[in-house]
Amino acid sequence: MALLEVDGVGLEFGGIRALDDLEFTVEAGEICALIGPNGAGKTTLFNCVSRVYTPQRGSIRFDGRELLTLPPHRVARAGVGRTFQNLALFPALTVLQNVMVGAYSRGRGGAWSDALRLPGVARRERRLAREGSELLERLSLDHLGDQPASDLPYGTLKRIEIARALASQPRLLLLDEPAAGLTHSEVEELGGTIRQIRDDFELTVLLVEHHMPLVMSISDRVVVLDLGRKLAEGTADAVSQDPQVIAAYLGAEL
Amino acid sequence: MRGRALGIGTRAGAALLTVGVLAWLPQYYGATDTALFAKAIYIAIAALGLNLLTGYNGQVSIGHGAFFGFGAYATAILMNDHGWDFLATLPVVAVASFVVGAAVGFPALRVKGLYLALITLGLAALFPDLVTKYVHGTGGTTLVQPPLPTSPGWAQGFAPNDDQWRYYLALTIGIVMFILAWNLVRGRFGRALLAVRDHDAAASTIGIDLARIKVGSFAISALYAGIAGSVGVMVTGLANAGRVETFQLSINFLVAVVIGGTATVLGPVVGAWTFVFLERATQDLFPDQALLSPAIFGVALILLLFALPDGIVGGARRTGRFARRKLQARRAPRAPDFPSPIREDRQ
Repeated sequence: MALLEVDGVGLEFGGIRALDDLEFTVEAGEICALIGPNGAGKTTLFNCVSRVYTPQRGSIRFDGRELLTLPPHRVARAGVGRTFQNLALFPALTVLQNVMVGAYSRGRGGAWSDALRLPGVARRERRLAREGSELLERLSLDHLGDQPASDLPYGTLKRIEIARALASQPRLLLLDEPAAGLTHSEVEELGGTIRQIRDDFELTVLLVEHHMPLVMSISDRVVVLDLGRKLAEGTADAVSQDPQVIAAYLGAEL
Repeated sequence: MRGRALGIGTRAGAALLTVGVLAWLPQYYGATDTALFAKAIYIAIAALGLNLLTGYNGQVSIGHGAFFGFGAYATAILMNDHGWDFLATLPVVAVASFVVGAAVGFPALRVKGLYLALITLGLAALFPDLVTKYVHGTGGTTLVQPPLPTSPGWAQGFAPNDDQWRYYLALTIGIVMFILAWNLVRGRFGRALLAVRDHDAAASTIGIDLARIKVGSFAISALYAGIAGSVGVMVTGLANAGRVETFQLSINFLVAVVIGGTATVLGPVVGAWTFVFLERATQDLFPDQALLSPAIFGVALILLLFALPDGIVGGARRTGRFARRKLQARRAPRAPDFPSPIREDRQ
């Protein structure tokens, strides 16, 4: 059974049809790329999966469980992590604290136990810090733990965001344009990193990406969106030969 | 929430020294000054709570004078009409203020920023009317003057006067509230507060229930303001909720948070003491000119914020970081005379 099933999802903003009967699946363990011209609905779909938007029609099932009935903050606990197209780190927190807060959905305890510093709290904090440091090390960010998560190079900040998403120990990781704004060598390294974390953490990855060489090199499967609909689906090679896809990208008549 | 500037030992030493000085103050100073110190303490308690809401969670309130008044009246009425002991009123005030704060926090979920500030301002405007309607105090006014706690026999050695005893009660409550706030911000809840303030969509994505954190911080800050009100009654001897006082207190808490340093635990405490003493110091400069003192006080606050835009504690931290970097640069080996033309960026 597919890990993520997007089934007949439709979403309109006013009169604009952002997603139109969209349907595709992501199999467990694969790296699936979602591509398409600007405005095709890629990020909109991400926002539906992470419950920022609620589509008017359809269903999104994760591991057989309907996501659209969950409140937004339950999606992380269900096993879905994500990064954002524009950075969404917490600049007031250090790099390590950003990763520690990323594990929020796995933790328990509220304001009272924190304020009274009940016995379990200090132990939990130490464990979180240790796990966070390990994650930072995996992403070669361990030297930055104590720095505020701002005023660092863009590529570094994007990796911190990936580390934060991994801290919740997701089974599905949604990456929204991870390569945007990165230098050529950074993109190459990013491809390796995505594969590495997929293998190490037994993840399924769904990524939105415009950087075609990256999509070609790491995706097991590509889903092409245009005007809120699925245009094509298949291996990267097959999709790039598809005349419909070429037309959508280049705007040519068929 | 940045890297630790000082070691554990230095911090513990500084904390002990501070508590020592605070404990010594009423031994040396007279009743008038002691009352002033006690005022700084209850303003600090309210500011600690407001800082959790405004500094850490980014929800601006200019209505916390209402929660302060609520706590003050609860304590005063329980003591005056029902013969309760002062300390016994505190848990009741804490729970009741928390609940009232949550009740105000829920509608506040719908609004942000300036609009939220306006709604809380409405709260400060509404509260005195409620008091006028429901409180029947001394001689038909809204003033309630409960009997104040007196120094018990066992405390005669260090607090022979009642005002000293009340100061020590206020100080103890203040220290407890400070430690609770300090624990709160350095854990899971504190990180969630800042995360919601910095980027609510991302905070929601990592599993933080925005409503819970926002309403929770409202309720906790109201609890702090309520307890501050109780302590205020004990220090000043009366509960009062004039329109001007309620509004002024709300602003005072906010000023204490801002001049001390938002989103730092120590900030509101330093800010409250600075505020109270600046106000006192500018009060009697020109006895014949009633309007000049507040003006000078205002100018002093503006100058303070001009010099230290991120507050006293924020400014001190910045200076500390700067000094540390300078020191490290001096200790580090000198850079080679011919730097390599190719920079290796570790990415």
